Amino acid sequence: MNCEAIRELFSDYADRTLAPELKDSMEQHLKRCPACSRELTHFTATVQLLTRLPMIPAPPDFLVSVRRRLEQPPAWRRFLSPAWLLSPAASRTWALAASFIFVFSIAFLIGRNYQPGSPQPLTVALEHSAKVWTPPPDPLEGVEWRIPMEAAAPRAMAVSAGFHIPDSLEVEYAASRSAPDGAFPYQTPTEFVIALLKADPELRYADLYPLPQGALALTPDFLYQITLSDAGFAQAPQTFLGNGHRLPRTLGQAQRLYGLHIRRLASPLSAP
Amino acid sequence: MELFFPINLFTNRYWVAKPLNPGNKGLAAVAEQVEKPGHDADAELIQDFLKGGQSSFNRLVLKYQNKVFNLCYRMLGERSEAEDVAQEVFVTLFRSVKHFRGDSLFSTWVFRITVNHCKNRLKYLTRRNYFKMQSLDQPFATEEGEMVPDTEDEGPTPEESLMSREVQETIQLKIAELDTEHRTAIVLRDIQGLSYQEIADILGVREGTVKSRIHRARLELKEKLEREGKL
Repeated sequence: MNCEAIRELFSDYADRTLAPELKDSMEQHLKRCPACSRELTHFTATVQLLTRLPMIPAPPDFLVSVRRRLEQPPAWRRFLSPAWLLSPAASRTWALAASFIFVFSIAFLIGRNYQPGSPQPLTVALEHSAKVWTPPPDPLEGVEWRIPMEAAAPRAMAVSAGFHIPDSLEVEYAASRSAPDGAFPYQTPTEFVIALLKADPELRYADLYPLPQGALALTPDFLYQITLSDAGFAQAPQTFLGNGHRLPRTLGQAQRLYGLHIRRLASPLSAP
Repeated sequence: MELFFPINLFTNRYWVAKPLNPGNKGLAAVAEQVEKPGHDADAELIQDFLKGGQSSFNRLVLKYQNKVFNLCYRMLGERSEAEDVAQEVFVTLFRSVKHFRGDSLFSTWVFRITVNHCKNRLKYLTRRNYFKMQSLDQPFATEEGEMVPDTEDEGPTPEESLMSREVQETIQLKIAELDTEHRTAIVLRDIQGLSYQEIADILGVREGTVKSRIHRARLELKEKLEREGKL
């Protein structure tokens, strides 16, 4: 028998249930094999340690504890006792349950009366307004388009292709930043007019449409066409620098300072 | 010849083998009673308890409390948990003695309930990370500063036992490192001193399985104790 097979018999040996012939062959093997005999010593020592572990007795009042526990009602009945029902834990539970019931009953009461609105009233309203409302006149009908040929410069091309319209903060920043180096920050009349519009708090939020010489500003009440001639734009840097790189606060001031050409039309957004 | 039929769904024994003539057990039953004198006494106590005799239940508790508590302690390695589980075991016994059919020894049945309770508690405690290793030498941080763990002084004094407390604690720790099946087998065999047949009945597995489990557990424990230098 090899060592592995011998070691499988250790348990039987420790329990003294080993068959006599197996025991003989095991003892013969152990005489020749010190490793296995050391293993067996350790194995039997382990078993002996286990069997000699002291019996830990139950605590002296064990029977009393068991009896007390038996007299306790089961958990589900403990929750029905008046002592628990009046405890703070119970009141918290009641509050939670009541709020749940409240919320769900409100939701139920609202939800059962809810019917998704039929499309009928909407079409009626549309028909009604269609009868009253007439399309506004073309806002650009009376506008004189003065598009100079020389505006077909790269910059003007960019304007027509898609012009970045700054917001009022950007305009203010650009104007104030131009003070240290003393340069005029606007390259075209369009840019300048838009900056002037953004500086006016009343026109700041108007819809702006860049024009080659200026811009259209659409407000709920009016449509402004604001243009600046090339001659006016040529004079503009001087005035701007003279004003200490500050833009005028209103479009009226701007008109007086820079000679803007302003036309005011009825807005297509206003009620007829 | 046996018939299989369902019994109480609330116990873990859904199906039991019921002899066709349970009343007439013949000579075998008599021989069994003679062979195992404890069985007879328990049966009398149980009968008396079922008739309403509370003192017989007390006697059953007193008879089994040390064995059950010791088994729980060795399985769980924790005095307070062991006491709680042992109490649970007797509460379960009290409520379900009427389902005890006498198919096995009463002690076997008690141990089976105990082992199941211990396994459940072990599962519960493991899930709660109860057995996170805490070294006894390393100081641990508290709100007031660092403290060195203080081991509770429990169990018999060194004079009472043959073994030193240190060795006992080491063995208990190493038992706790075994997995549940091996731990159960080795505790029932080497600490409670039950026979292979009884353990097989308690665990509901074949005797060969029990034998191999005990052998593996002993080998594993031997390895662990060798590593600790306790042999």
